[in-house]
Amino acid sequence: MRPVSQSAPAGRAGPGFPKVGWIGLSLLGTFVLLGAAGPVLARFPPRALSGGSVEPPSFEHLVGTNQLGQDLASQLLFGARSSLLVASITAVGTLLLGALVGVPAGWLGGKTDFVLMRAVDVVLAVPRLPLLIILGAYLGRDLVTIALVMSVVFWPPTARILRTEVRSLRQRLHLKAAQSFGGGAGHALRRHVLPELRLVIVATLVIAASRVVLFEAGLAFLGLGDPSRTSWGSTMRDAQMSRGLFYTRIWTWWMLPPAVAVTLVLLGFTFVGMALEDGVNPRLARHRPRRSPARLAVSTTAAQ
Amino acid sequence: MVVVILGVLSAVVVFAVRGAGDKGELVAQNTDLQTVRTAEEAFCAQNGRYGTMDELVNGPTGKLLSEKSTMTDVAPVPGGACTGAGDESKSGFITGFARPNNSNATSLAKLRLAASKDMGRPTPFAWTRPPGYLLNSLMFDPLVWRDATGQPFPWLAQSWTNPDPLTWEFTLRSGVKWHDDQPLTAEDVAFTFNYIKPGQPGNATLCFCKISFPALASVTADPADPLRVVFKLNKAINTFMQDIAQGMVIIPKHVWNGVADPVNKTDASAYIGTGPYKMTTPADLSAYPVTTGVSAYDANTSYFLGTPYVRRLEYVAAADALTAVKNGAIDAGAPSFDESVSDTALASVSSLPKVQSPGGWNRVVHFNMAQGFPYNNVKFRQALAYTIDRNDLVTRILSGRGKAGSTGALAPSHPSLAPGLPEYARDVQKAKDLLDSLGIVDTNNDGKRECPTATPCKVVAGTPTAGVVTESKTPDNFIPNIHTNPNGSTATTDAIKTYLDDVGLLSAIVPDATPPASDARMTRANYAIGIVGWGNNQYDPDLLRSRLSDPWTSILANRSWRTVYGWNGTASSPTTTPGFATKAQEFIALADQQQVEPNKSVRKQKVLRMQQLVAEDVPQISLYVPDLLIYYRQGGFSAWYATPGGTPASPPSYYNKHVYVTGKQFGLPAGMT
Amino acid sequence: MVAGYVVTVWIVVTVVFGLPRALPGDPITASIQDASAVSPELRTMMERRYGLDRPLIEQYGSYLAGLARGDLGESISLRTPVATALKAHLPWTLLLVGTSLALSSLASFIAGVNAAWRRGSFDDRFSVVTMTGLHAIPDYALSIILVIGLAVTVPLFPLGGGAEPFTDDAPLVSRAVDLGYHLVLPAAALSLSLMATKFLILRSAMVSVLGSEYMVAARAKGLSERRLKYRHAGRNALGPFLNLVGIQAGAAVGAAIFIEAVFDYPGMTSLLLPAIGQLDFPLIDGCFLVLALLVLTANLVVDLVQSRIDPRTAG
Repeated sequence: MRPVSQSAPAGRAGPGFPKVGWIGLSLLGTFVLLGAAGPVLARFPPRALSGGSVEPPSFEHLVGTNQLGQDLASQLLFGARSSLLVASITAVGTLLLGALVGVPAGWLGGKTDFVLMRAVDVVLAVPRLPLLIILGAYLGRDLVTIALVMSVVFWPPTARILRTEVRSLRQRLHLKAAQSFGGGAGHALRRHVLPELRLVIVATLVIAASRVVLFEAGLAFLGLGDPSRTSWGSTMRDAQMSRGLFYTRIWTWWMLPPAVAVTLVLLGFTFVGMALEDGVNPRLARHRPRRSPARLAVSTTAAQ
Repeated sequence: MVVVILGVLSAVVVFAVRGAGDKGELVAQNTDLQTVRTAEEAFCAQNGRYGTMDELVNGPTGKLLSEKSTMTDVAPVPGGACTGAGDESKSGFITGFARPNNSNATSLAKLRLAASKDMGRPTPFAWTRPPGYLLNSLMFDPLVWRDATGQPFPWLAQSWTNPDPLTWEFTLRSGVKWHDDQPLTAEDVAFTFNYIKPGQPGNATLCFCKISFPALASVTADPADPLRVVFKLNKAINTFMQDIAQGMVIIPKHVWNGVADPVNKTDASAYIGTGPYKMTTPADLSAYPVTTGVSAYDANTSYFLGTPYVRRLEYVAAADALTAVKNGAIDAGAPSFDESVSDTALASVSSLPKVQSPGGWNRVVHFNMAQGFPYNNVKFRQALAYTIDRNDLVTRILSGRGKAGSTGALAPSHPSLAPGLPEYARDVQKAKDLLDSLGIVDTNNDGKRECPTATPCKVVAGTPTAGVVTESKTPDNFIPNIHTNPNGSTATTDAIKTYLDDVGLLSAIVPDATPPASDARMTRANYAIGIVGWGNNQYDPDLLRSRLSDPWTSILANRSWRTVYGWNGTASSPTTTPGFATKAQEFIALADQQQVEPNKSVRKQKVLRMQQLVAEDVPQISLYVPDLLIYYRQGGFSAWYATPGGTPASPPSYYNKHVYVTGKQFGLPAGMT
Repeated sequence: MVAGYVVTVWIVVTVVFGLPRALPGDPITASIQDASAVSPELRTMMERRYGLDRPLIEQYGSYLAGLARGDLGESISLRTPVATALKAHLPWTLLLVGTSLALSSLASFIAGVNAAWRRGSFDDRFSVVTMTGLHAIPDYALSIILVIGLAVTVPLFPLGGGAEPFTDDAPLVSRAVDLGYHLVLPAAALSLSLMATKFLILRSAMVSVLGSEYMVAARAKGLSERRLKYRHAGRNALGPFLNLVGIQAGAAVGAAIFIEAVFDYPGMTSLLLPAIGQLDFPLIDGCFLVLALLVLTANLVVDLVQSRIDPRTAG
């Protein structure tokens, strides 16, 4: 009978960053690099008519052109930019909102914790995409607005995780405070709480960002994205405007690359998340939160 | 053994011959068609005009055809000059099927087409877009109708006379019944037109007839004759037949009399008409599915033109017309032009039989010249016309299936298209020179143009209902806003941005949040450059007047030249272009004259001159006119034709009920007059 | 639990009430974009609905009363009651989501249990890799792959739609078959997308159960493989699994929006997307309310079932 193993099959317990994490990081790194360097790398502006209609990939146009003659490689690069922009803003927003709710809940406990966690449950219970859609309809479709709306929709899991972590930290700090000589709360906070939280913060950012990329492309695919921006989703949407295209080879260079791009980015996030969970989960399990470890794994991964 | 081989061989031979037979039929049709065309040209050479099938066979100048063709029918179109080329597109006759759908069947059990959604309900007052109008026309009839000749012919009315320019008298067919078996009388006709007058509840209808309403003085039923109705005009307009006689369907007085809110009347009685079809699905007519449009119509067996050829029409959901036809989900479908991909790319699908005809809808760049400099200067507008490559747009956006818009505003296929108009073929240098001459130059070498400080450029922004006008001058780059409909073609706006970029002019594309918002912006003129789509520019040339100079804002919320120019009939005008005021003044005068000019050739001269003025002054740039396309199932219903000039409230459409009723391209069913 | 549900429902309902009123300007103009284009009848209807001249409390009260009656207002773009429009399209979404949740739960349960059982084997590793990959493919991309693969290249299934039209008189069996035929690809897409997470979670939960002393004892008793797998280990892993199924109800409804869009399935998406294009707020609000209530109710049901099965995880 084998001993209990961890959740991630390809990771290792203990110190050192698992292999799968490196793969994830390189995928994400490429994504960030391409997105940031987009305008420099792109041969043509993404909306300019730089080629003939539906040209297959060539030296001029590495991924071919679409119906209008716009360069699809440039659209991929600028699409990465949109995703990157939204992911960054939302990640920060999610963290802030999550911390605003989760940290006081974990630190203060008691009634505050109860009320705040109920609030989290309420928001968590509402289906996310419909909520995104309705808020977007009321508040506008500008990219920054979309990012802020996503923060409002995606903060609960962050709040939950931060709360749990802060709670367990608080318990440990009480022990440590009893053992130390002087120091005080501020010192304890700086030297112990924050370093511990760092890992959790990164983990939650990773989770949030992966959902954001998926939904940003998805909204653009539905036609609900920012019309003035190129997005992977909008490229896919243009490609599927005429189903007749599916009967030809054109979809292979118009529809496929953005889909693959989104998938690779999500895989990157998944791998990094898996590697981090190794670091995050065992520690959480060790401090016996109210819910069982399996359930917590559920909340973390299910947030994806 | 030998018997088996012989059997197999003979089977093979039989199949081969049958195949040849099918091919043979096709070859025979083409030969027959050519024969008829040749005969027509010969007739024209002898008689100075084209003739009907009867005339080709029976004289007057001898038998040109030995016998009436069983496959091809021919109809002369008035005013067609002999070209001797046998080329229908240039000459004055058209050919069609002599037999319904060119087969020997007397009826077609079912025709399945794509449902249109979000076009309201097909009652006379609740449809909101042309597909809704066409569905309504299945159940309701106007006095006259139009077939592939584009000419009006008797429909509900048996005959009509025009005793003096201001009077039209119609005699209805006798024995016509409403779907609830009540008889049709002239009272219904008079009621209909009085009910839709301004100030009456029925004025909520979106019919085109309202454009000509100001000219209608009265509509009265003859008390002595239940089938006679008299129209009296206060202006002898040339568009009476199209706008009024064909424009409005006749509604039953006994249903609509006293109804205060016709738009929201959605019960079964709102669908009682005289038309060739009755809606049978959904069973409860008041539950018409506006979100899907899925419905079915069965032929009216007591129709006054006989039971329609197509016995049942079914409208089903089909997201993509082309693949739906290919998969057999529908019998025929028309892809919208922005779904089109070039035929070479769609090799497997393009083997579907199709009909392609010149269209009547165009996308247009509109200038609101009242906003000021530079929009009120013809050189700026001409510069844009020179740099926007309309032919390139046709290639990229329409995949070659269409034509660049005419600079004279009429459809390129319009019979009254003026020859020799300035084309504004792409000339980037000329565009640059024009902009330079206005002082809009690149002063700081950043590659983009700025406006002169002496005459700053206006930039219009703001909400649809509240415009904000700012000024742009050196050293700021001039970035005019181009307002568009959100569901309009981003492909078009992307392309235009690129063309403007080619001459160093930046621009910002600003889509509104919703189509109503966009319409509101256009109506209130809170834009300087707007991209709109409108149809139908294949209609009577009076459309130039209603589009560009009529002070009454048309249904489609366009800007009239008169309003835009601020022209109020005096000599002053808000622009600095010399000669501008004269042009507008001349156009407006011509527009009003052609509306009532009885002499056809004099009228045509005026219409030609109006197009010339539009082309010279560029109040709008007509970008492209997509061709109309319909794909149909191999071996299925094939009598499709695009109605020249369009049906009222819709651009030229293939879904003309005449083709379902008769199965042919023109003429009434056999035995009818 | 039920109390939590009621509170959440109340909050959702109130948010929907508050949204149009929280925007600057009067909600009627915001909805219609051009005040002068509004016909007097439409304005009266909207004013009556929003009750702008009455105090906020009264507006709220009549709004709640309307909801209780099933009156969700009237759609501006469709000119029909929102409730009528919803009734025509909601059943399709329910069919799609319900079928997919059931299918994916069953499939992932069996797969997850077996993968954990054969932990470390090639089968297990292959499944985990596949599921992880599947998890990363966006729903819309997956749908398009299925369309291209199984409806275009090999025309096995229809390109889209929910059912063959005008078959109301056809026998029930053939209608059911037709419904199923149109449901295969959309349900497959949704199930595959939902399956991945459930599989991974179940597998990891199973793995920890398998290592427990309880299992050692059960094995020692000499119970059959099958019994051990499903009745003992599986049953214990059921708790977190069910919890996930409930959480996934929300994700499923969201994913269904993408899938319905690609397959032109006549569900809520075909109502919601055009509504947004027209900024038809009564309709948008109605769709959102119904979808949110759907998910909340599903969560409640799962929670109740779960507390029955495993009292430990109650609350």
